[in-house]
Order: sequence, then structure tokens, then C-alpha cells
Amino acid sequence: MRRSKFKPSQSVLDKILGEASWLISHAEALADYGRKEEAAAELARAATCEEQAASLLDAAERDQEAVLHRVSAASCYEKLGQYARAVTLLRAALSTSLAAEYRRKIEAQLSRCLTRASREMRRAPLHKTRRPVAAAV
Amino acid sequence: MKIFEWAIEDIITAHPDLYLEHCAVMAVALMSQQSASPCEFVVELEGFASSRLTDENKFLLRVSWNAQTLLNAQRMMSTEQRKSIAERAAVALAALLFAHLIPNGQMRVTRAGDHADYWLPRLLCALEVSGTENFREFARRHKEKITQVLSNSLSWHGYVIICCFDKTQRLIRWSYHQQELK
Repeated sequence: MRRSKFKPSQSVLDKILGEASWLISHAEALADYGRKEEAAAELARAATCEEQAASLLDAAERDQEAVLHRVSAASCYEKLGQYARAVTLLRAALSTSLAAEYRRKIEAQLSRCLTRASREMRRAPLHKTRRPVAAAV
Repeated sequence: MKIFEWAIEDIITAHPDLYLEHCAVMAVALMSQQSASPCEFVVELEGFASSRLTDENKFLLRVSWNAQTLLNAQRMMSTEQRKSIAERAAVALAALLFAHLIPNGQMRVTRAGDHADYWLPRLLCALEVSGTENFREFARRHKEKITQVLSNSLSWHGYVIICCFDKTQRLIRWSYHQQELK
């Protein structure tokens, strides 16, 4: 794949990486205090930030670190019960060359998320597709 | 033996990329049960030296806290599980050590999971931290964490910090480990 010529500056990268780190640790602290709803909201912000960090690291040609942040975003979505989003990110992470042990860990996480995503789909109620109402003449 | 005395609240400003207030509170929750401020720990260094310590591989760490942190800690003890408190308390002490003794020792958490993994991005090192209240677990925990830190996903070298909050033995082992050349 051809890379974009855009390379983020170190300060932009540092800011995003720092923010992602702060959000994850804050989410953990809120969870420690039993403030689950606030922890979930912070985790959702962390997931977005981690995805952004991964994209910037891709652009900076720091592939291995990008994978790490993509997997972290996937872990946030997994914790939030958004398994389909986690699956997409984990598949993207696996498209990079990785150390065997780390690859195995990600594959295990992917398989867990896939199982949960399909369970969710079975549980979700079926919505009938509505036919468009014919315009009154 | 050299002595350092620092306030646990220092970690909050020293690590802007981490939310550490609750870790400081949890550290005080454990330390205040055993001692008035400051609480003393023997710190053993393995595999590296700090410029502030010259050739010594051991020092005495005195950790102090303020009245507000103590108040929060007293509330905390009634709500938290002890195991979780020891782990977070160890993170607070690790953050304090890196803030004062290692230049560019800024910490970051990079993975959301059951337990956070820490990185030292400016040093290109991984960091594993663990805490226990039982001295008998100390050596085993240290060994486990060495294996863990060296299996980090970026294949970086790593530091391990194990904090023991045992009533009879307050000890911190802080070691540095390099990846084997392949």
C-alpha cells in the first residue's frame, strides 16, 4: 500500500499519545471507584483517541506502535461491548507483520470478540425492512 | 545508605500522561496503616545505576503525604479490595521513583486491559509494576514480571518494580533487563 506523504509532527503525536494514556488511566481510576458509567464514557473517548494515534503512527511509519494502539482501541471497544468494532481493529492489526507470540494474543482476542459479536447478533431482535410507503396521489 | 524523602503527591505533576491521583491515595491507604508520614522502604537496584546514587545499589526511600491525601485514603480503605490497592499503590511508588531518579522517566499506559502495561517512551523501555502485602510472594512475583516485561510487544528492554508492603518488611526491588541479542 502506498503511504501518504503526510507525516505528523512529533509534538502532535506526543499530544495524542499522551491524551490516550491519560484517558485510559482515568477510565481505570473511575472503574476502581465503582463509577461505571463515567468509566465507560472515558473508555469510549480513549478508544477514539487510540484509533487516531494508530492512524498517526501509521503515517509516521511506526507500524509496530500503530498495532499496539489499534489493539488498545479494540480492547476499549471490547470492554464497552462493541465487539464488531473491536473485530475490525484487530483484523487491521493482524495485517501487519508481528512477533509470533503477540500475533497469537491478538488472534485469541479476535476469536473471543467474534464469538461475542455473533452471540450479540443472535440476541438482537430482527427488524423487518419497511417497504416505502407509496406516495399519495 | 543514602536517604531520599519525597511526597507521594509529586507523581501527579510529574506524569502528565497518567491519571495517578487514585494511585497516590491507595499508596497512602496502605502506608498509613503501618506508619505515620513518612513511611520508609528499602529500595534495591539491580542491573542499572542512577546518576544520583553513584555506585550504591540500595537506598532508603521515605514517602510522605499530606492531610488531604490521608483523608481520601481513609475513605478508600472501606470500599476497595486489598489486592487492587496493593497494585495501584505500587504504581504510585514506581511513578515516584521514575520522577525523581530517572531523567526522561515519563510513564505512559498504552493498553486498555485488565492490567495496564506501562511504557517509558523516551527511554524506549517497557515497565512492569506489581505490589504485594506478603513478603513470601515477593521473589516469585519479581521473577514472573521479568518474563512479562521482556515479552513486551515492541521487544523493548524493560524495568520491573515490585513493592512489598508487608508489615515486617517494606521493600522495593527495582531491576533493569535487556532483551537477549538474537
